[in-house]
Amino acid sequence: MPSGRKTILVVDDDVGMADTLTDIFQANQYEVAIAHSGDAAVAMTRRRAYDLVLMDIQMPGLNGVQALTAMKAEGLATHVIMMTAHPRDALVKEAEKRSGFPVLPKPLDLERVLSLATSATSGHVGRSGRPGEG
Amino acid sequence: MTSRKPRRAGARGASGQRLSTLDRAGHLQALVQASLALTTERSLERVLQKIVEVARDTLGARYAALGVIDEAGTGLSQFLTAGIAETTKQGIGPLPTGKSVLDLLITERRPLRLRTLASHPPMGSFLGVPIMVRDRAYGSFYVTEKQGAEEFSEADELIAVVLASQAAIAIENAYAFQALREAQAELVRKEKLAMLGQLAGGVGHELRNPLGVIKNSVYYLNMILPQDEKIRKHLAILDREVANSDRIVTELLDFARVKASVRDAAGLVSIVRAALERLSVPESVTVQLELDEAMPAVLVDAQQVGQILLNFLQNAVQAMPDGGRVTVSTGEDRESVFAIVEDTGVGILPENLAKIFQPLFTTKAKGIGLGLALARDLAEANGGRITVESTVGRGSRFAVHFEKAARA
Repeated sequence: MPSGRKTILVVDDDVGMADTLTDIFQANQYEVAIAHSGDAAVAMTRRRAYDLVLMDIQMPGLNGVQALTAMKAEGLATHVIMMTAHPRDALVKEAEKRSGFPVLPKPLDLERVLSLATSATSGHVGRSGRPGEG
Repeated sequence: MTSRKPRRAGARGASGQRLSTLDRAGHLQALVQASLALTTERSLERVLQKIVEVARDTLGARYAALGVIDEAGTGLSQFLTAGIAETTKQGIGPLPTGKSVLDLLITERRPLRLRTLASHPPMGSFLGVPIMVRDRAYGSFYVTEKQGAEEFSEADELIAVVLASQAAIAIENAYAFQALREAQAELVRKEKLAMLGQLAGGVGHELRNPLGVIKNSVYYLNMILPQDEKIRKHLAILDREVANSDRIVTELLDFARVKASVRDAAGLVSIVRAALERLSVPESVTVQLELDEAMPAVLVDAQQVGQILLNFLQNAVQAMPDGGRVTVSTGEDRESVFAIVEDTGVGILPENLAKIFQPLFTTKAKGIGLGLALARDLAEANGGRITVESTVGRGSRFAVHFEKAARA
């Protein structure tokens, strides 16, 4: 991928969701890669670093939280923002704790997604930061 | 009321006589008939009617009447007669409680045999018995004007007592059956709710993803399409409808969430205020607050009670399409604290009042009819209860009451 642009890995088993997010990020000058499962996402982060991973929680196989845990354990990803269609799922709290970001409910508020992505990839927030609130 | 001193049960009557074998067989047959009615007739009214008729025939009376006390104990829920013309019966009208012969039998709790009864609609000889099971009186019945004799015999009284006990069994069975039916209906309602909850939860989650994808696409098109007015308009429509659909999904999911209440001491006024903050009020609607800040705390799940109140508030706003006033008040009485949401809207038809808490019942053009079903479940889960009053054309008043939290 060409340098200068920020890189994002979009992880969602819903092809439509991954596709539309890809188009939106590309239109906002990001380099985008897609994974349709948690396992694929972990494998991809092993191969190269991304400035941001945007990942769904509920996925078959390795779920988002498990994938996140694997990435963190191997030091593969600094910024991982999770999203979910099940905001009351027990996994959500764990996802917030492990990622350091609020979990974004679907349908996504895209202005918020883009603003979070900007903060995360420009290094303004760390793991424990709560972007968009400060 | 009587022309002579009543005879006590057990006292040997002037006409007390030995029964012939044929008579005894006839009486036995009558009792069997009455028993049979107990097992074959489903309706209490028909069983009791049969007993009244058997009583009249077997005891050789001109008239027979049977009254069942209503559940409140203030009147008769059933009044059945034999030998009395329907017009005469209607002429008697509702029997005054505490004064009639039927009532006397109930208060006396023993059979009564008289040669004449003067102060009642013309009657000669009289035999009446209370209908009792253990200590509970369900009603009473009597026969009058013994044919072919001056008064009813002791043997007649024994038969009357047996018939009364059969009536008592029939009434007790009917009450038990009614209680069973109510319990069954409640069970069906709960099961329906649980099934509906599962379905709603599944469908809700499944819809969130496609809605999310549509929303993303609209956002993308908004970014890249030229600033054409029509395009903008249609993208805005898509966006708005996705938001509307998402609201419906949220309602389904709220309903589906079978969550245990986390009850804690909370102030009803602050819950009301939080609910009001979540309410979008059209300009044509004014909100008037009458909140008692000094109210004692309640032991509830604040989030769930907030949901109940938000539901009342949304319904109130929707009931006033042409505008009006919502009055939100709080208060307390001896045992409970309460919040009331009152509107000046269209009101609820009396025949719909009993149905508004049923899941899927709605009179709104838009809406799936889960709001009040959810509100009632949440109120019950928090030890509360909901009351509603409504007048068509004038408005509705929904109140939720909670027990006061015990003082430490």
